Amino acid sequence: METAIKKKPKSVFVEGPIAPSFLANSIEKHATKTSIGAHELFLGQVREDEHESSEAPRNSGAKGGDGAHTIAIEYSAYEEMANKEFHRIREEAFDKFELTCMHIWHSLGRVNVGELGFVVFVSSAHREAAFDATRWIVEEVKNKVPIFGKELLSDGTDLVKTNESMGQ
Amino acid sequence: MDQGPFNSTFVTMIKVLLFGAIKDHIGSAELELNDMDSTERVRQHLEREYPFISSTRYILALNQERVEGDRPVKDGDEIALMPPFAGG
Repeated sequence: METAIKKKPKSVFVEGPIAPSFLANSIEKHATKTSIGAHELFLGQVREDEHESSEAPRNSGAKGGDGAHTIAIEYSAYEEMANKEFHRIREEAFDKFELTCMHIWHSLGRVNVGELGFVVFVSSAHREAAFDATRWIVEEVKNKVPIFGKELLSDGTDLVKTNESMGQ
Repeated sequence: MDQGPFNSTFVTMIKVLLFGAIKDHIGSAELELNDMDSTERVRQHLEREYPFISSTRYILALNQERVEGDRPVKDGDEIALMPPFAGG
């Protein structure tokens, strides 16, 4: 299969949160790619959730999370397999959509509430491809990439974080 | 018994990688198992050694590819027990 993309592997994982200034810098760097007419940027931010006492946090001896809220998520991953999946997603995105560029970044380790843990940045000549590709990439990452999460709570306990429990 | 390089008494050793809540529960990121010839045998062994696994949701990967059902396993293979994903 012929593709125009470079084969150099892109690094996706970032230790800790992704800084907004890093993204601003990346946008600026794309100014020289003059075939681009549209960028789409998805930013996943760690949200503060409230945990009532309906079920006790799994990893604590405490009796129920009465009023405990999220303070951070700790991400870990099956890195070798995750990198293969990111590569596959990248190749497929370029096949399915008319893209000029795409970047995915995902945090490992601790990301506090309000900080960014996941970014998809897509560029194309026309906006339709950028909109469609971004949504597709975000869903693929959520469903297919072996990344795991532990939600740290304000009462010192932690919970297993899964995409099903995020109640979209 | 067969003679030669594929002697049927050849001991297979595989790596089992653990992640997320499974890793936290067992207290180790990696196990080594001998004499496993299929993913089903690996599952059964782990469920005997660590009974909580039978009531835990996970997906199995064999050499970094997700697998459903039973697959043959050979020496040097890498299996992973992956709890539900939380990325993205």
